[in-house]
Amino acid sequence: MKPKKLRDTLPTEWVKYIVVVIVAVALWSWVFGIYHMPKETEKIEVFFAGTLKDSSFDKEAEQAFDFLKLVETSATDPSLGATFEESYSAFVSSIADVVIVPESVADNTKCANAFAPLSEIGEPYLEDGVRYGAYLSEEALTRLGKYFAFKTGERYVAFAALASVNSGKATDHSFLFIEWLVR
Amino acid sequence: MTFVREEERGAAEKRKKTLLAVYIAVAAVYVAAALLLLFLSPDGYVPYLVGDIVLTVSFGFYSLYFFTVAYDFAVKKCKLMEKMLSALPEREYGVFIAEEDAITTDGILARTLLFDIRGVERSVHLFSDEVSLEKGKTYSLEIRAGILTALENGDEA
Repeated sequence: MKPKKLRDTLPTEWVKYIVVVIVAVALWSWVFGIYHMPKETEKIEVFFAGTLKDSSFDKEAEQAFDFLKLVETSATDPSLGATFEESYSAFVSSIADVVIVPESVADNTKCANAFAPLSEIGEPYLEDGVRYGAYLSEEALTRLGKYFAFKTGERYVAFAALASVNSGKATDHSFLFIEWLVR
Repeated sequence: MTFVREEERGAAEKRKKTLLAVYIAVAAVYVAAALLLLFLSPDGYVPYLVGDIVLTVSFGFYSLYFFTVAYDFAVKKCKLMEKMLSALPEREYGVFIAEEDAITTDGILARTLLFDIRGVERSVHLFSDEVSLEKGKTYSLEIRAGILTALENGDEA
């Protein structure tokens, strides 16, 4: 009996060989992506009330901390009204680790429900005598001005979101990040 | 000349089992190596990812070859052996008329030979390339399940 040969099957089976290559690439890319996905404690989500000028802030921030694998920044301009309110509320309550907002926005926020108290970091933003935020210094505004479109004449405050695991629950990464931001 | 012997059935079964055992061993090595690469991969994991993709494509190609060629042939050969050897042998004298195009029977390529047996034209399959037949010559045939299992020169007594 003549054994079957590979070339006998190739005309009908070649599609399966192509499928193997596609599935291998897709499957392993997905598995490695999931396996190396940064844990909650290895990433910092930043919410900025305003507009971004340059997204390279994320890379600079990632390089500033050994424990960070990922920094992601989202921004919504307060001038958008209801859209901003919705976005701000969602980020503060469940997504963001660190929030940077103008003082006017901070004044309209019930800080005790939204942000974790800070230790002595920079110039304090107080609510009922509790230190919830830290003002960004002039140097910080200048340094970060290439990434964030700060409005002239506005003071900006950085907060650590109360819901974040990095705001004292699992790590202090949000506090360390704010300290680095406002210096 | 005998084309199919009883002991070949055992050999075919043994080969099928050996092939499957080798496949399982290769699969185990593949899984271990692929997982090792994944678990050892650092944050800059691209070389490890490429390694796993190459391993998987290699194993996938081997699997396709295995199930569509090597193992497939072994399974079909076993079935054919079983079918042939469990059928009652017919012993006939036949005059060779012609050879038709080879066809696939039970998944295996076979020659198709036409014989005149007791005045009736009959086609039988043959799985051997070693035999060449002479047109118009009489042969003693052993046929099982439509397959020629033995052939000898001979004139009808």
